Amino acid sequence: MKLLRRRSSGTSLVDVVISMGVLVVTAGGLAVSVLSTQKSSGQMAQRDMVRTQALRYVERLLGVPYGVDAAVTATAAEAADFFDDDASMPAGISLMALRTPMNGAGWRFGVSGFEAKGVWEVEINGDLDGNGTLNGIRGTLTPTTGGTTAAGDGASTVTMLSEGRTTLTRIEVFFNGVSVAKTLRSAPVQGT
Amino acid sequence: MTFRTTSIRRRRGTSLVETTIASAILVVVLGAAFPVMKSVSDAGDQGRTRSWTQADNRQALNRIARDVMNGSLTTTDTSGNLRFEITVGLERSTLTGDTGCVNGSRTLLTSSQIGGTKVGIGDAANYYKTTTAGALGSGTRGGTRIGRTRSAGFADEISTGALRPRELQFGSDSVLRFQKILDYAFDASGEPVINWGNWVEYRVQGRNLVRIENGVTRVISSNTSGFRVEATPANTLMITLVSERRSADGKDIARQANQVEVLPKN
Repeated sequence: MKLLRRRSSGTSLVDVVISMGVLVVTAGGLAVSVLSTQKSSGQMAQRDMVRTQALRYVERLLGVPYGVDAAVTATAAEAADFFDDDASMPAGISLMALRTPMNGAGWRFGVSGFEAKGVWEVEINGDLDGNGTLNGIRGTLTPTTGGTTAAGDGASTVTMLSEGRTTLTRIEVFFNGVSVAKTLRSAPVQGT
Repeated sequence: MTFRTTSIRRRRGTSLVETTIASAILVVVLGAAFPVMKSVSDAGDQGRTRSWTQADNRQALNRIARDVMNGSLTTTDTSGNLRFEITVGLERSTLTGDTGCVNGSRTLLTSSQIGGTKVGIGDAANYYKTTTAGALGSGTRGGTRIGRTRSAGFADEISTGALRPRELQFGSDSVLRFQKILDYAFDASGEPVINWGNWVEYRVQGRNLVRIENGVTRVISSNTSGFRVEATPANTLMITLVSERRSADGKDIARQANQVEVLPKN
């Protein structure tokens, strides 16, 4: 009898606390899930903006005259004018003038008003694989044209014949230290 | 006997007071939940509209970019006229009256937010470089996971926020006209002769961005409120497309500006 009376006497504090605990945990889980979705959506949007901007730099660097090895290195102001958001750029600028040292800093800058927080770095040099040296692992295929050097063994680190030349240049764009876009550009055949 | 009495009392139903209290609690709970659900629904609507607008822009810009790549900014015809031209079109037609794409809900990052110890562009200071032992490449992308370490320092800013596509203000749309290379043949001397196609034109008509070729007009993007094309000295084209679209409930207008830079390959 006592037992039945106690069971019909309403909700105890313990019941309420447990229910609230379950509710809080459920709502918290839901909130975390929503926030996580929002965050990843924002990150995707930012990655997209970063990639679009990087491709702009690549297109611009592919379009500028190649120039010659003796080209005077661009000044910081000229580089800023080249990479900024407007359509103008320094007169007579060339890819060779924009070269950056191998295993050294590229052109580093932030873009005012850019939607993602971070630093751009553009490397332009003859270190084709970007490892900071002119060495690398040479493949096992024998070259069909050009040099007569024997093929590599696919494992040993040797001097790369294609690196360090002024006729073949790597253009690589980094955002916050991560490579976003990369291409190679060769000098025009007839030296213009 | 007592047992039966208890049982009867438990089934006596709910009193008016209990019902009133329960209803009041329900109203309070629903009153709290409804605004939340509505704002979630509104945010979903806005997000969807923004996604559609952005997808429209990207699709249109990709289409234009593919077209323009087959053109040339420098080639002339037999009369010496360029096979490419950009002219100023009509005044922009916008839903908001704004000649940019400023969205109040987004703010530009300021210099102080970018913060940190800055180095000037081209300045090697604050740059630590190490050639990782056995480095295979330059970064984390494209399979070159082992790469050089780059500076974590911040850099000076270039440009101005006002030049960002969504901040850019322009009053009139552009009209882009060009010819594409279709193919080529060899003449009697063995020289290649380029076969140029019809003039292709991109312009804004009303709220549509259209492509006109050989008298055929096709809509490339609806909801257009701005189309701007600029040629750079590097022979690239900067193409900006601004679109405005009302959300499904008609209360909000999603505005989106996208820009690509394309290098015509000829």
